[in-house]
Amino acid sequence: MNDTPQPDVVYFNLGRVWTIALNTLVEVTRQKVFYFMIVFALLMIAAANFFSIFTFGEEAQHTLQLKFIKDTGLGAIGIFGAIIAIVATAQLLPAELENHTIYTILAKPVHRSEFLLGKFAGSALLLVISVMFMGALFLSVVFLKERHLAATNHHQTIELAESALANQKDIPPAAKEQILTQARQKADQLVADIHKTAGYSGIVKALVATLVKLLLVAAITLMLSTFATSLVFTVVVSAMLYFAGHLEPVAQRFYAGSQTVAGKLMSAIITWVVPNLAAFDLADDLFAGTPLAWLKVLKIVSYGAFYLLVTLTLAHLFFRQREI
Amino acid sequence: MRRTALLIVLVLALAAAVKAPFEASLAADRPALARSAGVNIKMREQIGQGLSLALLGGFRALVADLLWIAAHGAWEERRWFTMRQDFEAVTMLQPQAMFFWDLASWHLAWNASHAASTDPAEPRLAVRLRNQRLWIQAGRELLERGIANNPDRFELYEKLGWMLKQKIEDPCGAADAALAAVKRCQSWQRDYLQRLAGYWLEECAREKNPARLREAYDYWRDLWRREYSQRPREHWDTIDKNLSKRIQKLEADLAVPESERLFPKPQPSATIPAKS
Amino acid sequence: MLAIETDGLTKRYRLGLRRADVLALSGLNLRVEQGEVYGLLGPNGSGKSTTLKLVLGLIRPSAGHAKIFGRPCATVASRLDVGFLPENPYFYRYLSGVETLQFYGRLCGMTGATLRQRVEELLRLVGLTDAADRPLAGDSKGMLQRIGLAQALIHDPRLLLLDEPTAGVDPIGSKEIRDLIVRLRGMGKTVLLCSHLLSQVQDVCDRVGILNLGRMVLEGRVSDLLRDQKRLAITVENLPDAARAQIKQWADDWGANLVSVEHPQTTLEDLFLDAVARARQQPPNPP
Repeated sequence: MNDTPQPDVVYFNLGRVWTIALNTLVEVTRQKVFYFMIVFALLMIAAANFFSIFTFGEEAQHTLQLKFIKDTGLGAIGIFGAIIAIVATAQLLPAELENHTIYTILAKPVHRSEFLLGKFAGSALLLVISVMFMGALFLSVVFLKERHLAATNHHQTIELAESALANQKDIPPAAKEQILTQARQKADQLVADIHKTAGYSGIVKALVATLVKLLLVAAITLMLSTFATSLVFTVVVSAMLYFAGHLEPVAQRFYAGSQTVAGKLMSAIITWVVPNLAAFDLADDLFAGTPLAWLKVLKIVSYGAFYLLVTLTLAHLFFRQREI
Repeated sequence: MRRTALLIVLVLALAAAVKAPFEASLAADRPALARSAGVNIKMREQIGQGLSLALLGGFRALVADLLWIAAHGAWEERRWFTMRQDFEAVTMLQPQAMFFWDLASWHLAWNASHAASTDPAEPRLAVRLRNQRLWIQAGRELLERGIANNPDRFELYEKLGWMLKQKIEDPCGAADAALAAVKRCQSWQRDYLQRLAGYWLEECAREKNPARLREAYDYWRDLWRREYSQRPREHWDTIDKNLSKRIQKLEADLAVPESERLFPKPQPSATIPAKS
Repeated sequence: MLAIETDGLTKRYRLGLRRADVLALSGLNLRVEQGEVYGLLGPNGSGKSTTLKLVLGLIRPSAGHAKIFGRPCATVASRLDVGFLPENPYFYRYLSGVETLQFYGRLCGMTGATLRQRVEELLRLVGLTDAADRPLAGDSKGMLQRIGLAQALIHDPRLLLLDEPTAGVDPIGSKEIRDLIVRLRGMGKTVLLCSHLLSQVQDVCDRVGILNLGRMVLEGRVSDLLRDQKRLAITVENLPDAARAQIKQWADDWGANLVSVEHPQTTLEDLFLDAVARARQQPPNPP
């Protein structure tokens, strides 16, 4: 190696980013994040059975049962994901500094941007895996519930028609057949309706948007940790920005209507700087029965990607000049 | 150091510049995100929604579901005021769920009002009737708040129409609500909503406001020309027959000149195609 | 070409808004030749670690500049030829020795068989072949220090920066590490090591520089610095007692004073203390 002339410029290299990312993934999976997965699984099982206890009559029944499962699933994935994104990401840099491993890594021919991006990618991989795992579990619970509801409703509808016919003796066979056919059609319609209520593509879209939001939250946390002096600061400010991001639409309206200087200033900061995290919540659209087209989901994803780029660029600018 | 600070400011400025147009584009797809969204909602309601969104985060919808169950329990036990409070909370937590506005306002205007009108604990008829009216009014207010929260959706306008028609006996208001629903509906329900608006408009004109009879006729005529006139008479179903009869009656009542009628009186020479 | 070259290297830390700056390193002109073992000595807070961090580009100089084999230290390319062992190294506790070395190897662009072979070679070199597959969590200080050395060597750099390589290691481990440094010099490596354990590095360094309060107070070849100019030690074998008396007489005749008949006890430690004391008496020069 000594006799080969060394280049005078070391270019940005994705291989090094990947090496750091995989190592970071191992690091973060060693934190207790997988307990969340167990809690999530229990929650889903509970949600699947909880609503069956109540009866709301006909249509409302299956709509509400499926809604409840979906609300539980999406809500838990959003919250657990945010906790994982903030807590796991916040300690990446402090842990590196505390263990002095950052010295050995940056003493190698490694760009700081490669290191930072690798750290983010490791955290991002964890989020992708977590959301995929929870999402798969969630979809299977919805699927099982749908099958169960469909089977029960189908069976009940036909049984109802059959028992009605059994009580009436003098019906011509042709009319009988027609009534049964109608009952079968109604049952099929009901099954199709339940399938539509389950709304799988809508769930997948909501999960995609949630994942993008979580990646953005992780990036914001990482950015804060590039200049933060304590872990608590990073976690608290990340959580505050998470809430502010969800409040952003309200802040915008408040900004438009606010009279006081302080109110105007606060809402102005949120309006111009903080990304609108509510834009990634598709659960409401899902239930309002207006799932977005994929192209529009893509637009939301690109909004997230834009902010991801902004946040990571800022993180790089902070980290580049940080004294280690 | 100074260069870095400058770059940071530059990046932030760029992001801020892109933010508004980008979000405007997102809001075009989802009106709830628009900067102007909710201008017709009270500030207090907006802040309540925003805070619940922030505090409960992803579990907001779930809390709404649980409160819905509580409201349902209150309904079963006929605790109407508790039920109403729960409905207020549910709709604040998830204002975009049509389902909640719809069912909650129905419970108030139909079930609670009926219970009030037949309340065995209240012997005075006048008080029972006043209470009935108050519950209907409560249902209407809730539904109208739902409309303010979802001004672009047709569903709640239709529900308002039914409420005005059946509980408030205001077919003219019902007709206007149905027309508003038609304007916002692009799905398969549009067909039915268009006729619903027509029926109510006609009813409004015949029973309450004769001045609108011409409006009702014009509405049916335009609708007929747009949607029904293409179909040959031999394929008419009950809907076509019903509509044609209504139009003919209106043409007679309004004394529309023969030349302008959709269904002119058969000339002696002309023959109506025989129904096969 | 010099392995390390610094020119007026200065580092000032700003503490708060009102408080005065702290001068961690002041106008250091360091020149380390290729192939030598250079010892940077001094008490805690004297600027040794600051110097290493500046040379590695982990922090930026307030003034002056530094180069490694002619490449400015601000560039990533300057680190192609450096291996670094930090003070009190810890590694990822969930990785074994082999995995740790593979991780660092990959960062240096090594892969596959080359990497495997190199890792094996280094584990042999630092004497960790037995412990290679254990997670590092439970490893002793000495083991961590050796893994640290191995990771510093993974990409076969020409220059090694070792921060307190023997601190906290038991005497035997310390001896082994020093032997290793000598072997590395034999392999043609340049070594810059920092230490406050003076006697331990005395026998491995070719040259030493002594830092105090961010200033270089003394620098030179170890053999030159340790030579006591006024005294002379003569080591003689099999000298009879009678001859000893004669030598004393002889010295008296010449007006000399026979102080001791043992080996002179001057150590690097004494030298260091002396140098620090002298530096304290003199008012510091303005930077």
